[in-house]
Amino acid sequence: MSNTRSHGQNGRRRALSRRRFIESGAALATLPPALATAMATVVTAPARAAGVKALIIVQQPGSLRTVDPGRASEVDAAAISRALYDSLLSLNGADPAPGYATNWTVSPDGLTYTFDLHPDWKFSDGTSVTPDDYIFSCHRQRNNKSDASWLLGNVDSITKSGPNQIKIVLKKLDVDFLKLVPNPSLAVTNAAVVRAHGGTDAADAATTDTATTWLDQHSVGTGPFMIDHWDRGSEMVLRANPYYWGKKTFDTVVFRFVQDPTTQRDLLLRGDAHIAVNLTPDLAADLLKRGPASKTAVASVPALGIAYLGFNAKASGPIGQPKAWEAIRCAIDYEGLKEIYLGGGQLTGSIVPPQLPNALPVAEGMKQDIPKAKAALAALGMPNGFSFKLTYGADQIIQNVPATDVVQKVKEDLAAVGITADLIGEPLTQELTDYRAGKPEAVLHLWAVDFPGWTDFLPVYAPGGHVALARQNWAVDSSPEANEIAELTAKAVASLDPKEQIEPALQAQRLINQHGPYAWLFETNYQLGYRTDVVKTLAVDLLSFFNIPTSEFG
Amino acid sequence: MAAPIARPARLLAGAAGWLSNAEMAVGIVIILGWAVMIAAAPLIAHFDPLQQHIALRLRPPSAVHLFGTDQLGRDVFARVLYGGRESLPAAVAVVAAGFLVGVSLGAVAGYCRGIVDDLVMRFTDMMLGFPLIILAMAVAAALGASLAHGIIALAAVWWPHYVRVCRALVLDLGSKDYVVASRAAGRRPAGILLRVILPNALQALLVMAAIDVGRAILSFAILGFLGLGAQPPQPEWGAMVSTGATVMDDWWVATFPAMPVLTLAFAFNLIGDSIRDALDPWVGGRRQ
Amino acid sequence: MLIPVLLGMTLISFAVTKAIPTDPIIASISQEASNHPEIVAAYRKKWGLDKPVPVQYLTYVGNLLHGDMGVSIYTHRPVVDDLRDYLPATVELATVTIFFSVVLSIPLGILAAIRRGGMIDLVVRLLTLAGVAMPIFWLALILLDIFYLHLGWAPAPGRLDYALQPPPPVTRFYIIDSVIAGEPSTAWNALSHLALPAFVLATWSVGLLTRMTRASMLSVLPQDFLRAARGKGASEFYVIRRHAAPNAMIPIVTVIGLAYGDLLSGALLVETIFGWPGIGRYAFNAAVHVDFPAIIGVALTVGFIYTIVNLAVDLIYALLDPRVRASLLAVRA
Repeated sequence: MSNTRSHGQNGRRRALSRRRFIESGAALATLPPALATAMATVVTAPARAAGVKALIIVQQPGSLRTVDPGRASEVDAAAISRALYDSLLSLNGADPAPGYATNWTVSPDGLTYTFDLHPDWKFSDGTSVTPDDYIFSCHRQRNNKSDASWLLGNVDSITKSGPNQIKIVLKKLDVDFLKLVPNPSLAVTNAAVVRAHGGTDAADAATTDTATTWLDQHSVGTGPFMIDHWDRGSEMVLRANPYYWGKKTFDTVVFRFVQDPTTQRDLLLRGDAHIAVNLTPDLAADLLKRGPASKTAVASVPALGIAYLGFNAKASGPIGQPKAWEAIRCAIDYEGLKEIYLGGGQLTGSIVPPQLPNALPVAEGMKQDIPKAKAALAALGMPNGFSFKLTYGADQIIQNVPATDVVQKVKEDLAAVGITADLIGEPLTQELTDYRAGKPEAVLHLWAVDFPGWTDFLPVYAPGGHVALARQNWAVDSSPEANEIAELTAKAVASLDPKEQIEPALQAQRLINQHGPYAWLFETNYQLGYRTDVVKTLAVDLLSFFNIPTSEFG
Repeated sequence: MAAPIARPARLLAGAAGWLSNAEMAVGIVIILGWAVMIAAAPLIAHFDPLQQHIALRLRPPSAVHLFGTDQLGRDVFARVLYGGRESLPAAVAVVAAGFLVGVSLGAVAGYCRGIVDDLVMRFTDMMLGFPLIILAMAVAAALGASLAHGIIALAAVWWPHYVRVCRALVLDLGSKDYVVASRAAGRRPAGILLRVILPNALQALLVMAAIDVGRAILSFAILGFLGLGAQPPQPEWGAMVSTGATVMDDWWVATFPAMPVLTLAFAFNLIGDSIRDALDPWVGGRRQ
Repeated sequence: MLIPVLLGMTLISFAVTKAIPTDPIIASISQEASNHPEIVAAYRKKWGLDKPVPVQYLTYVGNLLHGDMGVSIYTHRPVVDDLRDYLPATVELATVTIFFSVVLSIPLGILAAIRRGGMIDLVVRLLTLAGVAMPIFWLALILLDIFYLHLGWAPAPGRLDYALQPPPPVTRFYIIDSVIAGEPSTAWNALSHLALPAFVLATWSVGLLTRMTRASMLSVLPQDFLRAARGKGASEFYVIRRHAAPNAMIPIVTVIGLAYGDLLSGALLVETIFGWPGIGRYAFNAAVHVDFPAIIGVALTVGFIYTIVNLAVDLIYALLDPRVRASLLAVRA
């Protein structure tokens, strides 16, 4: 029995008081300078701090299954992970910034990375952080074969190269390696403590590591908070880490799990929650309409996810033909889709989100062009259109935008040029299975970011890439254009020099936009509602949704 | 003692009572009203239920759009009317199928008792806890996703309730004096079950079935949410209420599709009550 | 009888689950991970999915007989732990709902039947008609909007105020645990959080039970033995309580059992709206992820409760009606 639930274990809290005094004090939040992209800024409320200062965040329980950084990979865990642990690097927008490492160097061949580390960091139990803790954490993460264990797949070795220095050697060049390192899954945990609770970094960690149960109720990291307890389905409570290296923040952070977005909005309006994570675009628009009088605001930031239609290059019938793809691309009303996703999305130039390096400018993105769509249909030999099956996750919410709304709009657009999209709604889980097997004729799908680098997108969707080959059946040798795109992509990822990357990368995206089996519909946005009387500014992190605001009390 | 046997003559006599029954009339008017509106949808609704006007999404009720517009700018009034073409027959089909299967099994179990009772009831107990979604996913995987296959899946989890209740009634009635008397008089068991026990049991069962019609309509919502029922953009009440619930600030999107569900469930219950009364052997001639 | 029923349930559930083409591993891991065969293979091995289906089933049943329900593919935790975390909230809500429904419905139903055709009957019938006809989650949203968002009378969704610490777990029912811990204010708070979702659920169950009670009473009231009892000069109250009500109870008790089971397994939408950390959402996630250990775990638990409740119902029949007793006892033995 793995009963490590923490009720009553943390005696200190009960000894203090049964009540947590969630009455929040005014919080003059400041940004963690290197950690995040700053968004909204609003007023400071008068101080009425009394007792413990707590921040209440309401989010969907969603896929939150563990907060063990060595196993978690879900975006729902990322914000919590960020609050508990640090990685070697952090993110400033899409760029790497210092974390446990203060600075770093790359060898000329791009294979050896050296990181200088903070000499005086402490874990939340007061023990010092050493390079060995990081090495253990990484090996455990890689060897336990959990979802994110691929992150270190290209790493040949991680070694200690000095008392406060780490050296990482790659197997082959990876132009975006420094953007993998800040991932919350590659966090520093206290090796001795994790080992003491069943953790191991051995090669067979997939079956022998048992620390997750303990790490779901406790934490030993360097982040601003540590786990107090986690009541699955109800709440997770964090309290301040007394040894935190940065500025003091809230004493307590409460994550409340509420599934219904409207209920989340209501909690925010009543002041029972201070940050609401899962607002639909309509609810976010409602908060914006209510304005400052409601003491709420909305922070919005690109989520680097691309919603797209993908066509099966091996499908029999017209939908397998490039001219059919072109007809569909030109028939879609991309501007009209904005009415559905509202603030929950924005246009994209191609597969690489516009905020990342080497992204095709939005101006070169796909546009509705009915005559061109009809010309493509004529060239296909089907001037009156054709029909195909469009499979989608009926219960899929594309970053708070319902997939059913998107496909219904697309169906209507296509009908205008005579193309019939037969909508095949499936449970999302089924759609994932079918798409991964390369079965559906066409899908509506979302590619969510793994690391904020352009190589998480272009090479995956270029001919022969993971998604292009296994799911779209789009092979390198399928056409001269496919071959050219593959060559351009290979050229772009072969150099660390941005100047040598950009031209082939952009040209590859242009050609994909013209010849590829895709229609890029929009890029997703995070929209978070927050109370302006508690949170002055909300820092939004590209990988973890958002960062828990750090604050000063007035 | 008046033998409470439903004879054709009694049913006829009851029929006269039905018409005078105001509740019955109200129930029939509501159902007929919806049926006529649903049938005449193309004449009544000025809009195509599938036609989107994305720029006019989520508009409140107005003279043009009586029930407002939904997330894709479609006319909710038209969708409610056309939606009934899917939802109403589907819900009745689910309840009817569940009722027939459940009542038959329950009657046999309760009347035969012994090993038959045990087998039927244990199987029923197993199916009572069986998750609808899993069954619907399996049916959709085997036959394809559609409203018709959603009906099959729902009916397959719907019947156990009727088995339980029907068996309880049959057990109860089987020990009543008049049944014992019939048996003693040498009537065949099948005759006793069909002519004596079931007509009496039906009273309570009908009340239950009437209550279930509204629930059946809404049960399609969960199937629709997973793509296991009617496929969008086809309007269907359950799915309309559940997707409308995600934009509750724009109350009309969920509320107007909920209205036919509410009023029809109300009407079915009124009629269920009236039929119950008509079947009630004690009420026909001498009301207390 | 319980063991074969539960084993039969595992077999049906397992077979149906395997008929669904969704891959439970692909369904529950990240997209990027599904592109890495070694990760997928490690997960398949962990859940024995690399073995033939009959072996998988026998392994599962073998473990089950040792009290091990396996590990959920979706949550990666032992199903027993998950059930212990999620079931109590649902049972607490369902029990409070059914308790108040029974207390309210039976007197109302009897009263309506006695005063058949009168004013009380009319009011009771109209209210209960509205109750059973009401789409529950629509009502939940409307009531939350009015009583929480606008009026602020109802507490925030969830099982307790955010400022309160859950009581130390004994039964994991907050109301009972708070009382055990000597914290009546927490118990009161838990009850206040329960009120609105329980009210919403009860609109349906009160409607159902009242209507069944009325229908059942009506079929008993005119019978000869009651006339005989009245003829002997017994008071009307005595006749109802002593003769009519017990005779009308059998279908009512059955429906109470069914309604309780429905409340346990059918509260998904109400749980979603009221942030209630119950088994509904867990079961939903298990189903869509074809997470068979969790699916069977939930089905077994709900089936177990149903079976126990139905067994209790059968026993109550026997107590109510001596003539049923003999045959039932013969069957149960």
